[in-house]
Amino acid sequence: MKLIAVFMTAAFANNVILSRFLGLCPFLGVSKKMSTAAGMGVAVFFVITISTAITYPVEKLLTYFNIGFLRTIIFIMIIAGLVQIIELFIKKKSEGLYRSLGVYLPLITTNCAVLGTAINAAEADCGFIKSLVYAAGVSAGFLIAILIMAGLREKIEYNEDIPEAFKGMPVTLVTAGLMAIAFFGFAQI
Amino acid sequence: MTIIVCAVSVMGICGIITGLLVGLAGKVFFTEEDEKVTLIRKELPGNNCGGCGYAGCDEFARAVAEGKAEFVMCVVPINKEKAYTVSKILGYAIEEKDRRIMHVRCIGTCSKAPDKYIYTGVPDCISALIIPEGGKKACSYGCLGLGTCVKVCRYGAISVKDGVAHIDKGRCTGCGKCKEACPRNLIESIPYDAGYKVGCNNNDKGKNVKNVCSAGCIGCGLCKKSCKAGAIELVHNIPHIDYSKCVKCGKCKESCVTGCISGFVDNT
Repeated sequence: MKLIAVFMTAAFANNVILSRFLGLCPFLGVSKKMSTAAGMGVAVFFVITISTAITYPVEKLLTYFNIGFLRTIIFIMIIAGLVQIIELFIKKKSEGLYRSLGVYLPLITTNCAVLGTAINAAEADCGFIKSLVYAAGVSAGFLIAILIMAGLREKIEYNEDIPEAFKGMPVTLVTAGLMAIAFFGFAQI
Repeated sequence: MTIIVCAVSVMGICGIITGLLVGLAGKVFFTEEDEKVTLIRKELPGNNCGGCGYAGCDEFARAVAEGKAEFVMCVVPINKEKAYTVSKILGYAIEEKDRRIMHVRCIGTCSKAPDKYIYTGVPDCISALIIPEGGKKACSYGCLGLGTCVKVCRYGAISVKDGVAHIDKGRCTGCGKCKEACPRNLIESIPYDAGYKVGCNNNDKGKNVKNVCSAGCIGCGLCKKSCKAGAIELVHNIPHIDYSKCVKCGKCKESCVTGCISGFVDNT
């Protein structure tokens, strides 16, 4: 029960994009089409979950040696290496998945949502399983947000009523703000 | 002091482990990619224009290597040198292919072809055509100049000048995306070294053409008579030049009374 609550909170109430404002770059960058947004979301799901699983024991190691200040740099290094390995693995095992994830895998090596989740999970220090569920929740939140955004943007693109000055990025940012307000409603549950 | 040693060693060890793992993964999960694909990919332009019908140059290279597609399907011209290299990669002969470019069959600029009404809708030819009367231009065959072709061109070769789309001969690769996009079917594929081109697509009779455009072709057929090579054919009151027969003598341009046949030499 508690795990479900952790998952839901991470996915909705504390949505990584819309209430923590992490990972905004891919959120705005690759949300033009539904298919690319789905690719990005799934790639982020992979990387966040696996990297949290790896960085959790590393964090334990860092606290043991009393060098917590190295956390950021070591996490970045591990995540970057991990993404490389995952990419090679997917390329070998599943050509179709590799082609559909395509460029998005390397793109998220230094995504702040990935690092942010790993650091949050490490700081909270609430057990391995709970951290994993938290990471899965965060990435599910990312997937949901980017998919909604892509769906909205596909519609906005052809809307003729938008004033010239608002077309493109400005109206996208306004939409993102409105979505953030909507997601704020989850915080009250 | 100990903390520095500790930090450096942990960092170093972590780095070495990550590096080794990535290196190991590279060896273990090494995927053998067809050598042909990489070699063919190098011979392609890499703009992912989609003129061949595949999603991009990578996809096309894979299809060629697997024998599903032919290299000549790529829109980019193949010279002797390239034909030789690609033939060597594929193991069978590739023929040379001449460069082709696209050409807009309309020269009815704002001053020559007047508008029926002022259009303030979506700046897109397809949207404009939905409106009754089909577009603002009085000529129901001419270029609307709203730039649907400009949007689809991946090489930035098309620009709208004075109400008519204009293709930059240097940048055009002849991929044909604009041809598919143009709702009025004004764009045609012609050889890169074509001497003369027809700048009108109005199928109406002379008088009706004159009413809507001062530069339009009236279908008088003088160009056909003047052409000694027999390269010009009149279809629906519009001359069509057969470039395989054209000898670039320029007689058609001289004989044209409205000036809708122009040469590439003086008007590019």
